Amino acid sequence: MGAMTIREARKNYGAVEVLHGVSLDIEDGEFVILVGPSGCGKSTLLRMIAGLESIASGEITIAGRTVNGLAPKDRDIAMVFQNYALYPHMTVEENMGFSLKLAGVPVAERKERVAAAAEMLGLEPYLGRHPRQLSGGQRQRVAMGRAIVRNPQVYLFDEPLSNLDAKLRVQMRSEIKLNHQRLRTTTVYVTHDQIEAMTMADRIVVMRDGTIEQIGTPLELYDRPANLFVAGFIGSPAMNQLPGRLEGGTFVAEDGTCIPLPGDVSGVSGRDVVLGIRPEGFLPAMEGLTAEVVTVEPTGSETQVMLRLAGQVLTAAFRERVTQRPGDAITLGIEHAHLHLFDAATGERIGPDL
Amino acid sequence: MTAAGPSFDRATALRTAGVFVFTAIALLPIGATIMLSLRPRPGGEPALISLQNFRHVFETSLVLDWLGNSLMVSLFTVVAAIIVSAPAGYVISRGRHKVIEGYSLLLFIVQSLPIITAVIPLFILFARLGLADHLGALVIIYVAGSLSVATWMMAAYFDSIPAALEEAAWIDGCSVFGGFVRIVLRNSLPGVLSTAIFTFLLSWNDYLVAIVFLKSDDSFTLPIGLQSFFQQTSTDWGAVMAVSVITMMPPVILFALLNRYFSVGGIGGSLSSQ
Ligand SMILES: Nc1ncnc2c1ncn2[C@@H]1O[C@H](COP(=O)(O)OP(=O)(O)OP(=O)(O)O)[C@@H](O)[C@H]1O
Ligand SMILES: [Mg+2]
Repeated sequence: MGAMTIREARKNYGAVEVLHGVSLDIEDGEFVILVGPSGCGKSTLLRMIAGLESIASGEITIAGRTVNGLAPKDRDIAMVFQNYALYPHMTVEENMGFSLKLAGVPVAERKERVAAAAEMLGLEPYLGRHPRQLSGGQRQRVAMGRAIVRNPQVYLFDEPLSNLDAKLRVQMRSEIKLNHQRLRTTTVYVTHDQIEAMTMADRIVVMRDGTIEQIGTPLELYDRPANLFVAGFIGSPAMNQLPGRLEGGTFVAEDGTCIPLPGDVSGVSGRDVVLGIRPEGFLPAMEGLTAEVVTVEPTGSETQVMLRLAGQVLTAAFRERVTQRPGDAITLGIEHAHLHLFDAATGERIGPDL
Repeated sequence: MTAAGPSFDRATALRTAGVFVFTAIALLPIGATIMLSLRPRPGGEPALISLQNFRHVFETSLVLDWLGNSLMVSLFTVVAAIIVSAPAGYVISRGRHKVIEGYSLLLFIVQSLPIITAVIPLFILFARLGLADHLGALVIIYVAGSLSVATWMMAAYFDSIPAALEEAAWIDGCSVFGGFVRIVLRNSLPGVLSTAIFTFLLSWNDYLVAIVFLKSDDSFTLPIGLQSFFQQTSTDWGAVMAVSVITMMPPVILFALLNRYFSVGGIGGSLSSQ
């Protein structure tokens, strides 16, 4: 079925290589999200899968078939573009039915399939309209509908929600997710929004500068980030990063503050490290570390507090209400599951797990 | 705002007056031509306005043949130029390859060479091929002569059509050529029309090439036919004016018909940002 493999895929524009040998296996029916900062090559990789960019070297297979030399139309894929790219001279119905028309699907069946997709997306009242007569959200739905009617092996999405307002984005997010649960079609979805990635993906692929940094389920990436880059990218608010040294079983920050570590870290004693602490890893406690409160930002469900600790300003997110005011001292414990050690030089995660 | 108001109004008034003056100057010879063509002929029945000149040229010259020749030549030129320049412009618009960029530059250089420098060698060549005094020769030369600018015009218009549109079409099942025709060209009507009008005027108004190639008076185009009314000793000005008006009519009608299509089309609504 719609399984996909990418083997050592490379891409260059002239002398500049923008993808440096990317390998990825995607199972049939999986929802895989590519995330990473702007310019890391997400769109390029997606477009190589679609056949819109040539593959310099390496191999891409879809449903067991090598697609390197195939034109986009022969790959049995559907794609939703960031800017929707609706055909301006066609009505919504014609836009959605265009692929079926090209495939020679009889008019009656075409109408039926378009109507079914339109119903699913709430587009029935707009079938006779042209794209310019639609709102941004409606256009986005038409772009989705154009992909859905196809029933392809693979769906490709390139930041389909980035042009919508926050509320509509959340709504479309769950609709896409729901739609995937219903159709179970293999999906590759590009975004640079880590919340979108965390909430929608079966697996996330974190990319940077044309290479894959880590592949895993959302919680794997959150619980065991492979390096500092992934640690900083996944999770909101971002993980705090404290540079320092390991001495015996204790982390010593640059200003001498000691944070005792659980687990056996004697094997890596004496190394320069970065200690990662998730904001939600801090707990109000009776005894432990003492920090100074810098700002308090209640959001209702949780309270974000900026703290001065070990000479740095760190972020903490408490489930509990915080009574301290800026300038007050606060005593903190740290939940061990939210502590991570990274090598200071390479940024790689250091075992053992804490 | 209030301070800027009056001076703005004065500027607008000045500009409007300027436009009127220049339009009047531009239209003066055309108005004179029309008026003179409607004067009675010497020895004809006196009248304020009369069609005697037109009746005369239709009865005594081959002006209808010339009109037909001109229309035929221009039609074939326009159709051939569009058929060639549209795909060529598309390649130049979308192509990223160095060769394509070089070709695009070459077109620009070629465009600056006046066609008249090549007319005599071309005549010798075409005469050998039996194409002297043949309208087909004109079509070939007009198409070749307009192609660089036409290609460049089409490319400039295609640049305004987002590549994502044809990419969507490829994914929906179009070939590269299919995407070009069904999506890109389909949404480029204003660009095609501009290019068509440019080539039409080029071939319709040409005198220099036609005078070299056309010898027999039943193969004349209108500008050459017009020339035949200028005699050495006397010129029939009434007839000249009538043929001039006949020559003017098709472009005027064409512009009037096509004018509204320049504003329609465009890619409104296809992209999220619009
Ligand atoms: N046509 C091109 N010519 C040259 N370089 C290109 C071209 N297209 C993309 N690049 C380069 O390739 C790299 C990857 O681009 P890509 O569009 O894949 O990034 P992205 O991860 O999708 O970023 P974003 O989140 O901003 O969309 C970038 O450094 C970009 O400058
Ligand atoms: Mg991108």
